[in-house]
Amino acid sequence: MSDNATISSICSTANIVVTCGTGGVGKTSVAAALGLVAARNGRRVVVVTIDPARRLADAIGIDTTVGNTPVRVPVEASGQLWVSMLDVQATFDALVRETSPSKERTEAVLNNSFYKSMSRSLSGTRDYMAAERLYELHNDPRFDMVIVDTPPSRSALDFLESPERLARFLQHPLVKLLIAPSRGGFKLASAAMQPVLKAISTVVGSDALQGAVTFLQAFDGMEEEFGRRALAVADLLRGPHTAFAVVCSPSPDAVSEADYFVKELFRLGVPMRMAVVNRMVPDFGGPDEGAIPGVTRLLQRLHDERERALTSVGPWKERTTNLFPQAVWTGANERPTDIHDIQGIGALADELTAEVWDGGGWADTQPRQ
Amino acid sequence: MDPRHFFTKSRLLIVAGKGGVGKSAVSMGLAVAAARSGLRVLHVELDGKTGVKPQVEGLSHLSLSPGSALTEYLSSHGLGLISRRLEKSGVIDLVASTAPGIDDLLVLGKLKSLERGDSADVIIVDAPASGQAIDLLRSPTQLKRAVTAGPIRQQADEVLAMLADGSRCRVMLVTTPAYTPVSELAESAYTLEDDIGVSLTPVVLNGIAPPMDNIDIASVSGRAHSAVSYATQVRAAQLDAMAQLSSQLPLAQLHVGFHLSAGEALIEDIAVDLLDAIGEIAEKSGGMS
Repeated sequence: MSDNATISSICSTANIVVTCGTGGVGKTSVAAALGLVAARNGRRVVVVTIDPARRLADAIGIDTTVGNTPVRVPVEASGQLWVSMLDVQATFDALVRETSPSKERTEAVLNNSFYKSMSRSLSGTRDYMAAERLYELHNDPRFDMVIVDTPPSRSALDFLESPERLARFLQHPLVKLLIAPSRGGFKLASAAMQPVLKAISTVVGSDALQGAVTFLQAFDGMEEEFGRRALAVADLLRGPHTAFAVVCSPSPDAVSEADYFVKELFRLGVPMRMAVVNRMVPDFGGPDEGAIPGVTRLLQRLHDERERALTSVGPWKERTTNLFPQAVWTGANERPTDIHDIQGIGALADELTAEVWDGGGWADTQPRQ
Repeated sequence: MDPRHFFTKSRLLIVAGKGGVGKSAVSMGLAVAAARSGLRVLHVELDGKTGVKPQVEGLSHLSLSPGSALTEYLSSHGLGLISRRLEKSGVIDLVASTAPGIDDLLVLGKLKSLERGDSADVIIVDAPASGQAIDLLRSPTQLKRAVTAGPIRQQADEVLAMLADGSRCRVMLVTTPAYTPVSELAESAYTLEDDIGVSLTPVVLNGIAPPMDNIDIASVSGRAHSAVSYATQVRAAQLDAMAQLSSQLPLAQLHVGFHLSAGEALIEDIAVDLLDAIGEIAEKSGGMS
């Protein structure tokens, strides 16, 4: 990425954009707005949300239930904007079908009771399926670009490490033994493993362990393909055409969470390319002594709120720039009401890409830093 | 309502809400408010956050994580040495995937043993963000399907008994007064009551903008006009969201103002607002039924 990259140029060149940030910062709207920027630049974009909430559909204002199948959103742009919501179960089912050597094996896995409860409830599964879904959409010829809206929690970045974790899990000798009874066998498991299995069985009960073993055995032969794909996803996420964006709002809580994400990205060796300060308190120019008292009080209060916002965002920018000097900075003003239609997303996209920022219509025009 | 009465309706009080609504600050403000009412309070943090921990008489702090609960449990069940040796390579993962939700259940199990003890009058838990909080509270029901016998099954049954008993455990939901967070809160409330059977306390609305002076918008111009128009719309949207919540969810509301303070001062401000709001609740109100 060159030194004079802009939000618009990143949205023109990146193949994958991942937005992360804590709840309440408007991350989903920002993800959709970045998608719209790319679509305006002629690209075919799909925005996929990992969050089970309906926030993406609500923000864009579409009524249809969105699932794994991408839905096209009508936009005025030379490119296309699609949205999709991660369906963990459907993604896992599709993956099993694709990697399974036979129809019988597919059925055996899909009907296994352990598989059914695990694929729905295990949070690690959700992380891995998010990575898998990203890989599928990335390879889908209908799209030039995938934008991933991560869940609003600290564990949002777990999906970055989940492919390696799964690969490691499948390579584990104990798991290998369980998967391939003919090549070792549950009963013939090595002396070192027997006490482990016995202890697991004591803790979770023998029927639960048996369910898991049956499940893993049904996987025999599929684990290598699983592991291979897992590593391909891991490479993709660290590749040169993947851009991470951290979205923040100016409250002290949101800033401390944003700090956490920035440090995590740094630790994971993933370059952060965009920083978005959303929901900024508009600048109304401070108190006006000559105004009527109510107005003076109001201007003072809004001024204090803005000062506090600047006080928390300024140092965050400094800390982040130390770690990621190349990150492009942008922002948008707080709106009195939630964004709930594509016009609202369009206005946000305008603000995020404006060279001269009109402060979202609330404040005097100011040049973008 | 007498705050001591409010806080001691159940020993365990789990505070949940989506990220960014100030759930952690509210849970800490609540703990300070309870301690100021003369109760012995334990504040438990499950999110791994290192926030402010006010030193108030009667208030102690504890941090619990799902990972450490699972490791601790395995150690006490004969997997100690082995689990430590193989932790990185996957045994923990194997146990966790053999019984999905086991780590969550063990956290609840730990809370249950605290609840059964007498080291605190009130235990206030800062739960993970709402989606995960629901996963957490659902874990015993989920596990019951896969595990039919053994110590984990017994643990699941005991935790479920606690969750279903409003005199032992209640959940407090927190939101900001905005359209989407409020609808999500109402949805979570019904999921928690119907699917899991927990009792809910009044809900907390955090970050309410102060009321506006009565200003005639036609009498101002320029930036004053922008400011008045902006603040009026913000306030109106908040009042709308609060009214919407009242119509969707028949629970009393505790209102906490928007504060410019930070750190311990913010926790104090929230504690004061909460005590005021609790004082205004009628003795009889509370649960949804």
